Amino acid sequence: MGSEKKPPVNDNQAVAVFDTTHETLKAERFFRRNKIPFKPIVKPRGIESQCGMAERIEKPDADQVISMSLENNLNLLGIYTVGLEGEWDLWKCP
Amino acid sequence: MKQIYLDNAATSFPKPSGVLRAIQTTMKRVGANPGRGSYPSARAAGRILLETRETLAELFHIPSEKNIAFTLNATEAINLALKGFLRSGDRVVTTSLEHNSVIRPLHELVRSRKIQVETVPCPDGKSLDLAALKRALQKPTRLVVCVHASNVCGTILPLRRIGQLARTKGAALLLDAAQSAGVLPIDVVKDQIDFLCAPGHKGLLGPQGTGFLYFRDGMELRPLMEGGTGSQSDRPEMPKILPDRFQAGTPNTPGIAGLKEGVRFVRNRLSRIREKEMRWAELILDSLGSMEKVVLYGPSKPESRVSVISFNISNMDPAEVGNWLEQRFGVSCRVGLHCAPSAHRSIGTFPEGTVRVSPGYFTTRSEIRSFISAVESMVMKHGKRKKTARKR
Repeated sequence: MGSEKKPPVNDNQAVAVFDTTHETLKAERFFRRNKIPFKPIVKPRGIESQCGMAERIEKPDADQVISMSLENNLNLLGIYTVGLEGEWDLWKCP
Repeated sequence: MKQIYLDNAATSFPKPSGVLRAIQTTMKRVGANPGRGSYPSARAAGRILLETRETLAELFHIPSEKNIAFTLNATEAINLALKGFLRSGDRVVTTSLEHNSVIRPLHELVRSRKIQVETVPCPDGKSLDLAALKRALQKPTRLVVCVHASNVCGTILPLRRIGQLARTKGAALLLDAAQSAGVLPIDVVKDQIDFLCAPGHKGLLGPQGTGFLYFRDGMELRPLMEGGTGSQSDRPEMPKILPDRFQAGTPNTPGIAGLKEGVRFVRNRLSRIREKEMRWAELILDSLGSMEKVVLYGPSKPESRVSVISFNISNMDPAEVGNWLEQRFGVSCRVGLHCAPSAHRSIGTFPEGTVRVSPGYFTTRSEIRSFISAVESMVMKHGKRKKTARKR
């Protein structure tokens, strides 16, 4: 069924992936502090990471997420979007 | 009969009410397994671990909280550090005041990895022989293992100096802070500590079943256990990422939540805790020291020790003293060797041991006075009994 493959983001959203759960939870604190909207999701299978969690964010916030991660020594592996064929593409990284 | 709890060196009691509340709240409202899902309660559990690591890092000036592994107690932390770091044939320098939590794993490593151990004496248990330590470090040494404060006679070892000597000679330093964490200031950077092992349930006022190991960045450390971490699940080996590498299996999340509150309590009162414990130590040392038949061990100045006080009454078995204190006066104390036979050899009380009392932050002056009166009455009674015996 198509619904099985439906990505957890729409065209205006992306997925921020951190190195560990520890760092992902730490990042959430900075998201809240900086009023960056986010939604924790299970890391999609197509994204390579050691962490089982990821954060869905809005695309316009991506640069702020990168600079926030750099400022706070968070190991942001990358921000991913869904390609034309439903595959996960690395869109931005620090 | 009201209990007078003077065994805080074994585990602190009572605990701050915030510790109890945190445990209960975690059990009632969180419940989930940290790092094993992205749903709200699993994340809340994960945040407990994160925040506890951050709180510990703040108290001990640890540069990165990811270098903290939660353990069951200080013993597990010491085992993890020793067995994860030492390699076949390594040389270790340690002190004569160590607890069996150090002595036994080292003994096992002598057998299984052929490590060499040199023990530096602590004459009369009053301080570490620094000249002997310097001599011991003339030979290439991989690790110095040292207790911060003795669990037998309270002696505080010169940590900063030991750290300097070890670093100068290229040896790593493992500190057993079982009796000092939450009582004495510890700065892992300034004190040049490579491994800090501490229980959560003593001076840090957390529940039993908690403890931690800090390891300096770059130390080669293998995990003691392998298992699920909620990360890299497709691979058979433990992940290299921190803190996951040393966190196999479900942690004691409610206990760790309690530990966080204990550490927060301590963090805001560290100097007050130290001050109060010194006051109790001084009161006990002065009072017992003035009793004719009482023999005290360790340094006489309260500032050179933590509030762990060992004593004996001449010609009395420590077990008899302990039973008397407990049964007649409700004093909970510890008698015997305190899992530290080498420390007792240092102070000349092996194998019979001593009576040990260890007041804590929540001990009251009236409890200390009751304990002193109890010893006084026992000394008097024992004197009479001895006289009677002589008449016969």
